[in-house]
This record gives sequence, structure tokens and C-alpha cells, in this order.
Amino acid sequence: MASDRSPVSSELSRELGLFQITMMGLGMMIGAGLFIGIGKSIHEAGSGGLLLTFALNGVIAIMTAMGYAELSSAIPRAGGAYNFARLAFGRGTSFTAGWMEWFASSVAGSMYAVVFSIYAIEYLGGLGWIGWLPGERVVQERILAALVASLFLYVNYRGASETGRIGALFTIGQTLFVVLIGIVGLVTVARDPARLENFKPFMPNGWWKILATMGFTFVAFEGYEVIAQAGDETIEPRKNLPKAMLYSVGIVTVTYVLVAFATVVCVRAGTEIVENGKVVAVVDEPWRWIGSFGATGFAAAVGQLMRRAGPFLVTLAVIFASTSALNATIFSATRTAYALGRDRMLPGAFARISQKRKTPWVALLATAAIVLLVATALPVMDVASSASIMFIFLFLLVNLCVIRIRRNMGDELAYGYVMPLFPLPPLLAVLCLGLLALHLFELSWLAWVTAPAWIVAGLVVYRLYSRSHAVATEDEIAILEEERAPEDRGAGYRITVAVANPANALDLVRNTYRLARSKDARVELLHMVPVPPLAPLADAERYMLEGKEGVVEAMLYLAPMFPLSTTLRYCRNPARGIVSAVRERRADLLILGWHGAVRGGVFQLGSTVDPVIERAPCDVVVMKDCGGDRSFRRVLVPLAGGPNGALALEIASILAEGEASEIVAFTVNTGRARFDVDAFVRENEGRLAGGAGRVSTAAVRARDVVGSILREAESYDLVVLGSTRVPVLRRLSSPPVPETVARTCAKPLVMVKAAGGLTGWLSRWI
Amino acid sequence: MTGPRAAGKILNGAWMLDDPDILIGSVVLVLSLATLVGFILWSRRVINRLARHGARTLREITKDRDGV
Repeated sequence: MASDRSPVSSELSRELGLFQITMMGLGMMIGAGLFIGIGKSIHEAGSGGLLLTFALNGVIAIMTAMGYAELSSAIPRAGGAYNFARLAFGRGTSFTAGWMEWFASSVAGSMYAVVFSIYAIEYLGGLGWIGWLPGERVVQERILAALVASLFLYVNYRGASETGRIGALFTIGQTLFVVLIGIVGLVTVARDPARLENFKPFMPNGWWKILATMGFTFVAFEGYEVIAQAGDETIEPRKNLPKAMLYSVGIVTVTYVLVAFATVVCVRAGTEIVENGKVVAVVDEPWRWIGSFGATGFAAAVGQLMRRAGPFLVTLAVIFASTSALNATIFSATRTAYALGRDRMLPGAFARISQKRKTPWVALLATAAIVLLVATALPVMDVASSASIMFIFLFLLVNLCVIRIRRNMGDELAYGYVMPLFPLPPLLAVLCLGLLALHLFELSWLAWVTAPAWIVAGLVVYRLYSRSHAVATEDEIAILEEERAPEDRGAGYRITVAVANPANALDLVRNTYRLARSKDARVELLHMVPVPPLAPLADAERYMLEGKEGVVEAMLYLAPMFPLSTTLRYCRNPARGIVSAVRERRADLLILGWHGAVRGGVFQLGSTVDPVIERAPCDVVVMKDCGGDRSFRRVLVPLAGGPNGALALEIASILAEGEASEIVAFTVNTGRARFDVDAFVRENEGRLAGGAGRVSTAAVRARDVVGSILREAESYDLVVLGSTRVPVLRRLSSPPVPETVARTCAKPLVMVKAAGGLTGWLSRWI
Repeated sequence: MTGPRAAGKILNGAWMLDDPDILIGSVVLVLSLATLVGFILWSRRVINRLARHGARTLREITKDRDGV
């Protein structure tokens, strides 16, 4: 159950600064995706579409990069999306993320090898140096792609530390080159503004075509994934990782737009294309002419702008860009496969390290199989589309991870960066990425076969192997003991009771009995065993004895009357553990006790109760001092409307003892907004146990709401009130009324929060 | 060619904005780049503020209003 990893851990030295990791990201991005993307995009979407393809992709990429930046600042460890998914969604999704990442990086590697070979063969063919080679052009390209990929697979086997430094130099060179192209384009237009006519027609094939070209070129914006992988080796990672991700996306987007602009204005309408001293064509529409070259459209255009040095410089830039990116993607893919093997998501052999070279050779061999197969078997556009679609799926998942991790672990992680306007950027990114993936079908149906097929294969591997072999990680919640009632007993309503200690258990039992009887419910007793951060999870059983005693006592009382299940789980954070259990068990109501003491700081009712109330996807009842032999004959329900108030009335009607008991719905009229308490009670009459006969209403006029409720409460046995509906962020600046009453009221008190609506539905799934 | 003369020549291209596609496209392009730069500058400010105060949980950051 617990981790079987060695307690001795090693750490990589932190040597990478902001400049180096920004260069790593740029090296991955400014490469084949840009060079083949330009030709294909202008062919599909026209001159204007080409510009907007890169500009709009930059916006989607920055939203995703903000998600990566936030997660990397909070979890600055190597692993990227695989790590984030493990924390956010658990093993299954994490495996899928790692599985996709492995394939996406491998296919991107294939794409870089193929683009290298296309440009190299094109250039050498132009010089007439390879005319003697047998076979068709496409066969020559594929053989060269396989040779280049094999070379870099071997380089990775040897160890890639030195190539990393050379890679940084290559990156500077290729970035300067594409910026130079952009500047030359601007100067050209300044001298000859008539070239701006090349932008007419702006969108020859319609605006929707942009979505397909955006999807196709999105692979050129995936550098932040590689930066995230450098978390263990970066100096001041909480600051430098997010900065590097955001800067690299900013730099590449501006550069791409500049290069796209330059490409469009490279060729003047009416230009005569000369080959071997003869005019072979006249360019009528520049965008159509550039697009007709497909993957090599960029080279053709630059060749017209810089007739002598252009083809050579472009080929050189493509070779530099492709080789550095090829090296990085193979490294990244191998590292992901190694991580899957290390965590036993894939067979342990994937984590086997070569004694001589200290590299994961099995993971590398498996990566080599994918890279070589895809590079030799699929058409180049389908290879690029497959890489793009896989990265789109991966980024979509990471955007969901951002939302989920903020929601579930915001109180545990130390953030070095939090994105502005949350949750708008990740939600918009999910929507846009989904659209891009759908429209990519227009350009490559094969990508839409390859990518889902790989994911389905991954799900099969997970079902058959990974699920039973994966080792636990530090932040996982795991079941220590479980005893479940037969499913056919009891009605559909489920109540979960979070038991913290023996005293708390007995306090909750009596009231749980009333609630369970009223709802004809199944009851689950849940005890979370919080294991301190520095204690190994293997020692969890040492911490569970006290809680187990409480569960046993509660069980003895409730088991004869209701279908009863018990669960003991260990976790690092009880609040996250409780919410996770409630979500998993699909509970309708959660009951937990509260000691009533708050040490101040950022929580209203405590570090466990606050997050549970905020995040639980079901109704929540929090009880303070409600145990023992207390009977509740006079119950006060302070109301100000809303679903929480309605639930408070319902719970009060269940807890009030006997028909002679009295429930008073009470409201304080401050003069600002008038609330009709009589109408509210009438509206909710159907929910009240025993009808509305026991309920009376009272209203006072006062400015001090908290003081009025506390004074009124003095003559009652129990106060039941709804939790605040003020958003969490606003609560921190001005303490809300219900929570203030709960903290200061000396009487037994119950605070409730109702589930439902869009937020409740989202809480259950995200 | 001097800077102002070059800029003047490029601005001569403004007649192209008569084309509605080019007009909308230009607006989209400018807005996209502005959004990109805006997010980067805003994020940079947040990162620097948090770096000065030290990394903290989301609730602590929100309570102290560290530039979020």
C-alpha cells in the first residue's frame, strides 16, 4: 500500500538560470512547426489567415502557459503534465497524461527528422548533388529522416549533457535568423509598400479555415512543456520557471507573426520565376504561389527575397532548428517513458539505466521504435498533425489540472505565481483547444485516428497493468481499511460522517441518527488519518489507532439501525481527503464536527472545515457542541434567504426534538435590503419535517446583525444557520456574518451549506 | 531611408483598411498581441511581488492581496 521506494533520495544540482531555460523553450518552439506550418497555413488560409494563425495561437498558448507557469511554480519538479495530472486527478489520468506526452514528444521528434530531410534533400537537389541517388524523392527523404533520427537516438544514448549547451547556441542562432527574416520583410515593405497588396484577398478561403491551420501549427507553441521538465535543475524555480514559460511564448509569437508577415511580402505579384536562365512561371497571386510549395513554402518565399544566400540560410536554419528540437524531444520522450517505468505505470524495465552510459536505454529503445515508425510510415502533414493534436489533448488536460489543483490543493501548495483572471484563462483555453482539435480533422483525418487509437491503447495498458502495479506517491490518498455494507440495503440517500476522534464520534452519532432516520439513508463513517508531512507514508498505520477507536464506537451505535460502511484512509491533508471521499462515494450529505476554536490567520472556521465547506460537492452539516444528552426544544434559524437558508430550516426541523419543540425563523432587517421571512418559510414548507406547524417567524430592525443574532440566541437550545454565499476571495477581506456568529456564539450550533446549481455540479466533476 | 519617411510609406498602406476583412483582421491581430503582452506584463508583476514576499498558499496570497 505504502510507497516501496527507497527512503534515500537524490537531488539534481540547480544550475539552470532564467536565460538557459528560456532558451530551452525557444529551442523547442522555433523549429519545424514554424517552417512547415507557414507553407501549409498560407495554402489553406491565405495571407491574412497566416498572420492571424500565429497571433491567435499565441493567445491560446499564453493562456495554457499561464497554467503551466502556475503549476510549475507550485510544484517545481520534473515531470510536467504527468506530475500535475497525478496530483489533480490521480493515477489513471496521470498515466494517460504521461502516455500522451510520451507519444506527442516522440511524434514531434519524427516530424523534426522528416522536416530536416525534406529541406536537406530539396537544397541538395537544387545544387544537383544527389541526382545519382536511386529511388524517388520521397523515399530518399524517409531514409534520411530515419538516419538522422537514429543518429540523435544514439546521441541520447551516449548522454546529452554537452548537446544541451550546443543546443542553446543553436537556439540563439535560429532565433536571430528568423528575427532577421522578419526585419528584412519590414524593410522591404518600407521600400516598396505596394507589396502590402499581397494581403488581398485577406481570407480567400473563409475565416473558419484559421481554426484548422491553428490546430496544425500549434505544435510550434509547445516549449513550456520542456521548461516544466527542468523544475529540478532550475535556480529559484518558483520565480524562473513561470517567467521563462511566459517570456518564451511572448518571444515566439511576436517572432512568428513577424516572419509570417515577411513571408507574405517576400514575393511581389508579377515576379518572374527563373530557373537555369529561363522564365518558368510568373507569380500572379503570391499567397497561392507560396502555398503551392507546401512544407517548403517558407524556403521558396525567402529564396525570392534573398536570391543568393536565401536557400542556403533557410536550409541551415531548418537543420539547426530541427536537430536541436529533435534532440530535445527525444530526451523529453525518453524521460517521460522512464518516469512511467519508475512509477511502475509501465513495466520496471522502462526505468532500467545503462550501467555504462547512465541513460534509460529501454525507454530510449521504445521511444526509438515510435520515432522511426512514424517518421518512415506517415505523410509529413499527418505526422505534424498527429503531434499537434496530441499536444492539444495534453494541454487541454493541463488546463483542467490548474482548476482542479487550485480547488483541491490551494491551501497546501506554496505558489510562486498565480494567474490573473482565474478561472477565465484555463476555461477559455479548454474551449479553444477543443475547437482546434475538432477542426484539425479538416487537414488530417489520419491524426484523428492515430491520436485516439494511442489513447485507447493506453487505457487498455492501464487497465491490464498500470492500475495494479503503480506505486503510491507522497500526496496520494489511500485506503487503509474498509468495510462496506451490501449495496442493496438502504435507500439511495447517502450520508458520510467524518469522524476525527472518539469524543467527536459520540457527539455526532446522536444527530446522525436523526438525520439518517429522516432521510432513510445509508451511512458511511469516514476517518482520515493525517500523516505529518515529514513522516513516511509507510508509518500511516501508527497514526490511525485513535481514529479507529472512534469509528468502532460510532459503529456500535449506528450499525443495528442503518446500512453502515466504514473507511479509514491516510492522507497528507484531511480536508482534501474528506472531499475526495465524498466525491468518490457520491455522498448526498456530509456531517462533520467542529471544536469551535479558531487560531486566527486566514481561515474562518479552521483549516479543515473551511475547505470542506467550500469544496464538498454535497450538502454539508457542521456541528459544534451538539453532542451528549442535549435535547433541542427551542431552535433558532437566522435567515437571509438563499439555498443555504432553506437547508438550515430543513435541518432544524429534523434536529428539533418532539412535536412540542419550537423553531423560530429569525431575520435582522438592516434597512438596506428587505427580506420577507414569512414568505421564505411558506416557500420551503414542503421541506420541513413535521410540516410548518412548529415554525414561527421573528424579525428585528437593527444595524448590528451579528450582535442581534447572538442576543436572540441566548434563549435557545440550538442555532442552525446557513453558511455564507459570499465568494471565498471576498470573505477574506471582510468576515461574513454566519461565520462570525458561529465563532462567537456560545450555544450549540449547526452550520449548513447546500449543494446544487452549476457550482455543485462542477464540484462533483472537477 | 529615414525613419519618418519609412513610416509614412507604410502608413500609405492604410487605404487597404477599406477591405472589411483586412480591417477586422488588423483589429484581431492588434488585440491578440495586446492580450499577449498584457498577460505577460501582469504575470511578471505578480511573480515579482510574490518573489519579494515568499511563496505562500492561495488563501494567504489572496488575503494579503499580493498583486493578484
